[in-house]
Amino acid sequence: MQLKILTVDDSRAVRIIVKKAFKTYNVEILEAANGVEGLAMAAKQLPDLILLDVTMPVMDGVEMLTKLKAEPSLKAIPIIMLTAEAGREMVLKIAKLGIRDYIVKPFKEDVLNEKVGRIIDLRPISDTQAKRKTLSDPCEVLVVEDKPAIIQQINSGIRVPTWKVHGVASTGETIDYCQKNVPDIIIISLSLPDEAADTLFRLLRSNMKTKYVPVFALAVKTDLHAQQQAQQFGFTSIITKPIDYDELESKIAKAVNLDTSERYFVFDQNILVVKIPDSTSATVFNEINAYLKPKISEAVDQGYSKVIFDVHAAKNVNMSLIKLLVDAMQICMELTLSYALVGNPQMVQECKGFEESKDWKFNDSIDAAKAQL
Amino acid sequence: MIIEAVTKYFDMMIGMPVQYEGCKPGLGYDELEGPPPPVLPSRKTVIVGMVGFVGTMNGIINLYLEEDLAKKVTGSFLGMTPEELASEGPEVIHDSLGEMANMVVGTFKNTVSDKGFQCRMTVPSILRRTNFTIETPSGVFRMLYMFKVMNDPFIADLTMKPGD
Repeated sequence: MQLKILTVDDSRAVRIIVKKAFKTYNVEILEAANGVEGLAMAAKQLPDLILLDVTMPVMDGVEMLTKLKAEPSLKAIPIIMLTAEAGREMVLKIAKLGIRDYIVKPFKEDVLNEKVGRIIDLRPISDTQAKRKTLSDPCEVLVVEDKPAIIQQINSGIRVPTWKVHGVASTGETIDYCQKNVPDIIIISLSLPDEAADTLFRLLRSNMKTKYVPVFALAVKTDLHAQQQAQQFGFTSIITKPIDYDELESKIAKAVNLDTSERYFVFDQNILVVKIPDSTSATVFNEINAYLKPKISEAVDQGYSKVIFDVHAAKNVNMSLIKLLVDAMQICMELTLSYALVGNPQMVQECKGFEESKDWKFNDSIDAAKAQL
Repeated sequence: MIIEAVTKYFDMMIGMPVQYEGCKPGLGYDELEGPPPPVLPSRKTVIVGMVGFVGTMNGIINLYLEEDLAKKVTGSFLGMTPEELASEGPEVIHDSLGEMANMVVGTFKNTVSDKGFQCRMTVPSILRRTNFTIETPSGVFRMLYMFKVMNDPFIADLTMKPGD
């Protein structure tokens, strides 16, 4: 999946420069002209990184930063301030709010690339132009953990049959392993003794073979200090224990740029079926959301005119699910596609409790939905 | 500090050499008998990028350049050809010059702030005219810093006074 960088700056010129700086990398640049637009864009697109100016009309960068940090679903997005405001007091004030880096304008393009590259896995476009891998392609996950039970848990928790989990217990074993095979993803436990996780991370990043391999940190959910440190260090992502395997699989898929759309989008005769899984995790919804427009457009391109949203597996209804369906229906309406919904009795009942979904009509099976269309 | 700020901007963002050619005090209207001469006398259109700073030190820096140089600077700043620039319209040139003023004044203001004068910057403004002058009252510090960029004039006009 393509990484997203959101640039929030009232100057269109700066936004053009940021776009230019990343044009040779496989990233999508999103733009916002002030803090209000920036917050809305961040909530909608969940970017992998935000470049934020300070002095802006409507809502300035400090206020936007404060609001981002107060919003649970957005607070983990790494932020780099890109601003001409760099007096010592201002920098200290902003640093206290929790940012990953600070770039003072004027700046050199390579400084911007380097600082962003320390936080997200920037890859040149040429590396990603090859056909995207799918869930049926093999993927090797290397877990560095000194507790065999955790490795065993991850091995059984990952459900994609083509993904292979290999466990090692120490820095030395990891380096030896990576000399022979370069894994697609490395997960390092932050509880390795003697701060070995940090040392290993640095070694992996300084080695040409593993420089671009996504590296996840594995931390206990309640150990916020370790998670914050891992974030500052530049780990690609953080996985918390107990592990949510939907989230882990989704993060791996994103990190290795895997096309997972076949999980959710099925082209069935002349109908596109969008299958919403039982998981209610925000990561999974974001993953589906990212495919929504391109997949429905692809269906239109291929001559499809009907879509079924199959939500019968959903265990409960929440705002993320409703928002996803509202967006999906909106896309269908824009493209003049007819659509139908499939749900289970419990969720049909729960949908009546939300203003947006109270009038939705559900079918009890795919066949009934086909008949409705 | 102004010279350093201008040089840094051209070096980092534009990649064009800039030559400092000296400075002279700007006169307030109480010190002149007639109307003051234009800061950048030219028959061509002159564009000014303006950003102020407010706090324990108040002031404004106006950056003057002719339209032709403004186009060259914007083209280099954004990596655009003259044709691409023309298709974008004048807005993109004004926006770029506003950002130029923001960056130059930012560098200047950050040094001032680090010397103990806390201030914040204003959002940029742009002025575009021929044959005009901007006057300041007497009793404030005003200095004009003259530069050459690709043989074209570039002037930084600094006005400031301590805040209350």
